[in-house]
Amino acid sequence: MDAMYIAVLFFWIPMSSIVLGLWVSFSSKQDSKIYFGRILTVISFLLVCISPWTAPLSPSSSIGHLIGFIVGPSILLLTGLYLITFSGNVPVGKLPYSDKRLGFICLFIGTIWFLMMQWGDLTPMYYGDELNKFWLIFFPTMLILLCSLSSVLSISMLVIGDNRQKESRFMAAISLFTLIIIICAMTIDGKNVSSNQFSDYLWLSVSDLLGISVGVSLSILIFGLVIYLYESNLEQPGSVNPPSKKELSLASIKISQNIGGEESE
Amino acid sequence: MNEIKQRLNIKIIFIAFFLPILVIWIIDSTLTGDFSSFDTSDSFTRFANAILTSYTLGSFLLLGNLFFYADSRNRPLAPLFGMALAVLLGVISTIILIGMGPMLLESNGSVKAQAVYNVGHTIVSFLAISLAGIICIGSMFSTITNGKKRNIFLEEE
Repeated sequence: MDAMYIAVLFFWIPMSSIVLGLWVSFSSKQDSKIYFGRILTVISFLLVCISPWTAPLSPSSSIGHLIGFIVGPSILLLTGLYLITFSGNVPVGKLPYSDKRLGFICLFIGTIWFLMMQWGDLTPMYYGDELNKFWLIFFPTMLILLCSLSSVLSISMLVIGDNRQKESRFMAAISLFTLIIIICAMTIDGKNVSSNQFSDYLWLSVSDLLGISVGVSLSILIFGLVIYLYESNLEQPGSVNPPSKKELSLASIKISQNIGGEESE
Repeated sequence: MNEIKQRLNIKIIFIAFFLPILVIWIIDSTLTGDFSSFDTSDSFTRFANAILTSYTLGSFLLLGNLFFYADSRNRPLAPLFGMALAVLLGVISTIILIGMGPMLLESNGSVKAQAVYNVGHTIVSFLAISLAGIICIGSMFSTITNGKKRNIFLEEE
């Protein structure tokens, strides 16, 4: 079979099915459809992850290869944050205090894992010697956005929040930590990724983020315009007939049944 | 007065987003002794490709969203047709602009290869954006819930 058809069959169809599955599971009200959506998402995700074996000749399978590499540290980071958040002062669903320690351990291991992917032996490599180029897109984009968003949240806590100086300082510390990682990656060569490569891709990531924000804003603008044009062309709804005597008497009976009683002091 | 304060807040938040990027640029420029490793030609190519791809994919997702909107409006065809045209515009402009020459072709040899690469690139960027967003919001909530316990309402006297 042609390499292109193999890529479509083993990578692009499962990748589209992930979006479709998520869509079905989030938008459906019936349990059967929700389960179907979830199962479709999980199976499609697994198929995407194994695409380096099912569609080895396709460059698109590099995405599946990258997802396979980042899924571990990402889950650890997210689990860590979940455990720390819900072992704190939450009104419902509070976890035991010991989970906070476990959360910090998960967070620490997840962070070290990501750093080892940049500087150590855990970099996503094809056949042991070829660097997966999508890693050079993923990591700088994630770091630069993490740094900028933490900075935004830190300032937002001060500007919008009430007495949130401590939280603001913590978010500023995350932003600073990420900034230090970026500067280290721009100056210190990793085993498989050079600092020059990282610098080049970092600026491409900034262009990419700006381009994505402009493109998404444009599409939302067009969407709003389409709905506005449609709604403004709709005819005014016809007015209903005035209520008959029978309807008025029925309404007065209902009102008298539901109001009245003693006045509270 | 409130409006002025609100505008000022938005400006401060906007500056807070770009400040780390500016700091990195200054440090990079200092380290390389040049105007950083920022290549205007490559960056413009990436910027243009990102706009085209994210516009097309975003419009396509919003076209799907219109089906839900249509549920409350007796399924009108006009907005669906309008949004389908917007998607088509994105696809056609992508093909034409990439096909115009080497300006938007990165290291790919054909329009088809570049278009597929653009979609893959956007998926990876979207994963990075999602993970960064979730980590930031998760960190914010974890600091809030692990702070001092606050009384939301004043106790009745």
